[in-house]
Amino acid sequence: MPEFLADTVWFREFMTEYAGIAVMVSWGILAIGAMQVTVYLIQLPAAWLELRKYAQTGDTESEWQLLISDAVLPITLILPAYNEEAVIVESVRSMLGLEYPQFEIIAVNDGSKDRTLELLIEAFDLTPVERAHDLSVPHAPVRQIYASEFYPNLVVIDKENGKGKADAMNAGIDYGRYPLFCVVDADSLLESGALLRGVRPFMDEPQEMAAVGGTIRIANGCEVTGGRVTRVALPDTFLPLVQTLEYIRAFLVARLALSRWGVLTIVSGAFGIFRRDIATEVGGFSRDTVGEDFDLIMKIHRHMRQAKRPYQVRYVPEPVCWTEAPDTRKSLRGQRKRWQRGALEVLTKNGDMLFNPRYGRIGMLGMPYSFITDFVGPLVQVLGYILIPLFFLLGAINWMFLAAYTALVILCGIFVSLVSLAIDEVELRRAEDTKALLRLIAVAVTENLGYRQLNNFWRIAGWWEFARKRQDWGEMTRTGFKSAADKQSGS
Amino acid sequence: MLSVPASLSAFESLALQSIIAVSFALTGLSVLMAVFIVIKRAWRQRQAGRREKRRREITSFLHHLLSAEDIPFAGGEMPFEKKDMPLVFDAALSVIRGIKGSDAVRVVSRLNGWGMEAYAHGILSAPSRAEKIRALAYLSRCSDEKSIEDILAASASDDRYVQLAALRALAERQAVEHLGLMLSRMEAGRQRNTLILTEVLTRFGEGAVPDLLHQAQFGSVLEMRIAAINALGAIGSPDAVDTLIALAGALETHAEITAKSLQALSRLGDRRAEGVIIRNLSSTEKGIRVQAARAAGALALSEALPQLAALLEDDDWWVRFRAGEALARLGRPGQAVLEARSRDRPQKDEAPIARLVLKEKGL
Repeated sequence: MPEFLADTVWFREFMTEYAGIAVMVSWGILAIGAMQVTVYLIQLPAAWLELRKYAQTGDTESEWQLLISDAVLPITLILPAYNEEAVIVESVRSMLGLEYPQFEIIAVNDGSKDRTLELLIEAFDLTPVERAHDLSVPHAPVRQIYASEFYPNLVVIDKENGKGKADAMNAGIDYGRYPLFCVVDADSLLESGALLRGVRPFMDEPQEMAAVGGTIRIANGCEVTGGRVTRVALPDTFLPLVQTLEYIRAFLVARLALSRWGVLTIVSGAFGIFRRDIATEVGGFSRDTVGEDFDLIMKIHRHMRQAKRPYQVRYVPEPVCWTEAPDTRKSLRGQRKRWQRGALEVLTKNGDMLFNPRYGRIGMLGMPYSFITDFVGPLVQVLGYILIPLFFLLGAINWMFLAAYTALVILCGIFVSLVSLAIDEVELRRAEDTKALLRLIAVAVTENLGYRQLNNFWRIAGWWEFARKRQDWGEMTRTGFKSAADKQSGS
Repeated sequence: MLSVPASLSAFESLALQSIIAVSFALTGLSVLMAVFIVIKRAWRQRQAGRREKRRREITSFLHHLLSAEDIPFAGGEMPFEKKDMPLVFDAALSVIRGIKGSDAVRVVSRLNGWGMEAYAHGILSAPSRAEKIRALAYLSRCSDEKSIEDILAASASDDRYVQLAALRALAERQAVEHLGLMLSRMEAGRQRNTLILTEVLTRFGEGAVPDLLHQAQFGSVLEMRIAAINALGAIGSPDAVDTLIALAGALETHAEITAKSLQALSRLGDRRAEGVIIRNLSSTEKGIRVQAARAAGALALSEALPQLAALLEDDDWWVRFRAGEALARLGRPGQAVLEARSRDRPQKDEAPIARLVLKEKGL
């Protein structure tokens, strides 16, 4: 405690009055932190068991056989694009080269202000066509449909801007003709066998499977040739590198464990496969939230539980989608604020499901989990960063509180990251070599010394935007994927 | 032991100390794991170069074997070391996947001479599902009775994926005489992957039709019945028509059975199905109306024109669309109906389906 304060009368009175409250607040912060670590301690072995089950059951023979047969569910790939001129052509090319017997690509130009549409028309020799379509889900008016003589499974929709990705995806759903649809971000590249692996759960459980999410991995640093990741490499700069680890933690551990327990509440909008009939029954993607992917899954849970229909939402670790991660602090901050805002919008919209036994394990486990991690978590963590050191400096709590809190925040953070990495390495071995693994280990330690805290402050900014009812998506600049030549020239 | 400040109760200090101690312990454990995975990776990386070189040599050798006029190493001596067997097996699987006929017999016979079949039998009893599936894929190319016995034994597995791999192996061997037994085992295993089942059952060809007809009519698992119906449509045997008509026309049948029977009939293209297709155009199930409309279009049933025209007003968009498509396939009379309807006033905010179909088809 600072001596100049300790000697003042008002401070002594203040401490007598409020020290007890400070101790109680500190215990509350510690308790919630300990609860979060406990959740991870339960999740980690569950995720590992699930991944082990998956890794040992690789049915490559069926995959190969399916590729040469027509015994798969046809699928519509929906590619929403708003100002994506840097990546759109490469992205569509990548989709056209997917290994899958029957699929169509619907690229939706959502009223872009750049040359997204022009580049598509030039690259794929598109001409205006008519296409009969359902009006099952709402979206902004379509201006024109384009198709190509040379790429019969490619359709491009040019529509008015619908103020969000959900609107573009809904247009894709309406114009799609197949029983499944897959949403892929325009800045993302699918691995060639990703669809075969992602569709498999729908084939295994044809009556019940409602949605399947795959893994998103960071493409910054990888070499891309002909729309394919041809050499996997870690990003060169810190921000994309730390996101590589974050994605391993978020997808491999959290979603895998939640999927194992049947309480998955989100399938990423960057790469998710959905049954069209169920998605249209629930009205498609909601246009009033930036968390439209989270929201769609919650709507599916609500609808199917209310109708008492058996269903599943699953995460499978190895259809992989590569995506370009934000590489500047500004764009990353914008993304994280938007994610937080989206999560809060969906959680408040579905607040009635929280601890509601009518919604089964989703109400009793899935929603509380999201509530702790997305609603309470960032608030408590940021409060902890500020209050615990402050209380200690003021002498309201002793050094053991500070030590326990630091241990929870930093040491347990390192533990969770390292174990997630170990699970990834043991079962999937996605790091390209020992050097890459060492870099990820280094990041697993250093991210806890500033980055995670900064991330939580950004999430609080997302809270603020949510409170102010901000609705827009914000801007995201794309740099495009790097080819081998780009990497050699250092551009 | 940490010193405990006086202001904390014993319980409080114990709780705080526990948090600190557990955090340190967990971090220590995770650091050890990190060290372990790095050492393991470094070791694997060293081995990987050698393994890759050996894999290339083996694959190249097998390809040479494939193209050689006479069989090298005909004396039977195995040109590989025992430790190479997993690599040889991998390479052998990828090589034999792409070959058929006498080439396949020649290569598999040589591989078996080097103990590959025995190796496959061995890994069939491994606990890993993936290994079992690989073993079954190999055994499907062998020609002896022992391998058939092993495939049948694997079909009794309670693992759906292993069962499917066993069925595929039987199909590859064209061992249709065992299909009935396999299907009954798969029913017990509650197989649900209709599409893969369809694909594998189709491979048995015409010989499988009696068993498939039985499964389609009397099977106890809905998905397996559907797979049998789909396979009958894909095989294209005229012997299946009467049963499929009966299934599509039976009132008590599950809607999906009716719909899939109609789909199979449309693939078979037999005009005897005309009556049942037209009757199903007025089904209360939208899935059945969709398939009936598609079948009417596929068979160009001009007799179905009034019913198809009526379906242009159906509540369900897919029924309207498929009816429109079917009319477009009926030639001039169907197109005339579409043209007349395309002048209708739009319902709600939708353009009439007839107009959309005409535009899409460029008519």
